[in-house]
Amino acid sequence: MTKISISSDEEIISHLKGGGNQFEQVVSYLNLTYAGLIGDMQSKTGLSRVQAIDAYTDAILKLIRQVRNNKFKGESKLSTYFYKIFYYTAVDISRKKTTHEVDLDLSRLSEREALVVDVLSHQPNLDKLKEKMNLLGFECKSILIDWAYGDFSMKEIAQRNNLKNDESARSMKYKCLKKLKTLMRSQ
Amino acid sequence: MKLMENKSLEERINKFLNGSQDENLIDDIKSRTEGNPELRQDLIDHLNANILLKREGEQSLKAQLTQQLLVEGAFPINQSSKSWLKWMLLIVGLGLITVLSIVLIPKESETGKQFAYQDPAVPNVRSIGDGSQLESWKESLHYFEQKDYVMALTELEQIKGDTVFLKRNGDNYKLVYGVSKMRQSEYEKAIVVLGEISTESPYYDQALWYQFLCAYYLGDKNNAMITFTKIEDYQNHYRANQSKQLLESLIW
Repeated sequence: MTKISISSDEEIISHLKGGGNQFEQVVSYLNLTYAGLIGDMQSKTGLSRVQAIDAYTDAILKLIRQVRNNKFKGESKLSTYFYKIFYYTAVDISRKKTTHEVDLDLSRLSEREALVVDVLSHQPNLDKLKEKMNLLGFECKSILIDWAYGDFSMKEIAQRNNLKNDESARSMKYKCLKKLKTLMRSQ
Repeated sequence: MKLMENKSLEERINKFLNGSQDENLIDDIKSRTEGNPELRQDLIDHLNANILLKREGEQSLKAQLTQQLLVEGAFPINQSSKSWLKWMLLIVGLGLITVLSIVLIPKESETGKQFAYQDPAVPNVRSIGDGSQLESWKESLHYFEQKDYVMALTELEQIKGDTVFLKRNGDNYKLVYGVSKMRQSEYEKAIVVLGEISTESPYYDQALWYQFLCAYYLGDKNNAMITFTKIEDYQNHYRANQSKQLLESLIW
């Protein structure tokens, strides 16, 4: 991940929403910029080093989700908002004293995803689907994640995955998605 | 007609999942899939694949972020290793600020104290202020219903400074805030906040129940007993029997 310099919250928000290389760079920037809070949170909540990092990276993911889903309204500075998310995530972990993982339950879906799933009266068994994902192969998995989560353009996906050009990336994405769906349907 | 073969539909669905404001899309999806089980199944597969990939993407990013923190050494520096001089300066500075604040800042009157709160059992807001923090309030209720107490508390914190809102919705706010704290196992803090709910409030019965639960979770027999007495005094309290049973199990 590359280092960049950012001058305002608006710039951060725009990059987070935009996806692609700028998304990746700004996430890396946030990760390093707010890292100083980890020690502070350790002393506040008594979390271990591993738990504090776990809470911190979870909080970064939550912040990304909030911004991408337009939940952050700019009522406070982004850093203040992040601190609150981090604090409550850390408290959550310190009280439960359990290893915290990124949830896979439906409550974490964006409103729109949940709405669509609801409309179709269908609740996917994500644990089962996750097993299928492992059968997909590294290259396909990487291409599909770049497309679905990172919002990278086809040109960027081609560069990141050593493919000839954006057309090859598009074609690979199509094949990989088809493969994933077939795997998901099997058994 | 398969989804993968219909590029424009796939693009529309992706656009929708990525936050498009097109409210007609759901109806469009419903009408397209009705009476077409093959397309319906294909659409479900497509949605599942998207959800799964986003989750995988998050996990992969989490691993990258952790790695970056460890490699770049952006990790917690032990503050105790800093020089004693820095600490001395800090203590002197804080002392000065405290003295100045006592001398210069007037004491807050009791009526000026505003806290945070809503009814966890009733999803609809019984009374809503028209302050600028309304969005945060709605968001916090949304997270509360989803049992995402981390984000509920984060949103509630956004409202803390809105005295107009809190004046109108103080007891609601305190109830949601207190119960969220309780769900995070911060029982002592929850008891304090819930204890601030007015006895005249329509949320008072719930406040009593959650205070009782906090005392129960803490194993605090005395406080559980005191709160139970209040529950008994409250006419037809909705949790009277349950609290009695819990109290008995706590004592015996």
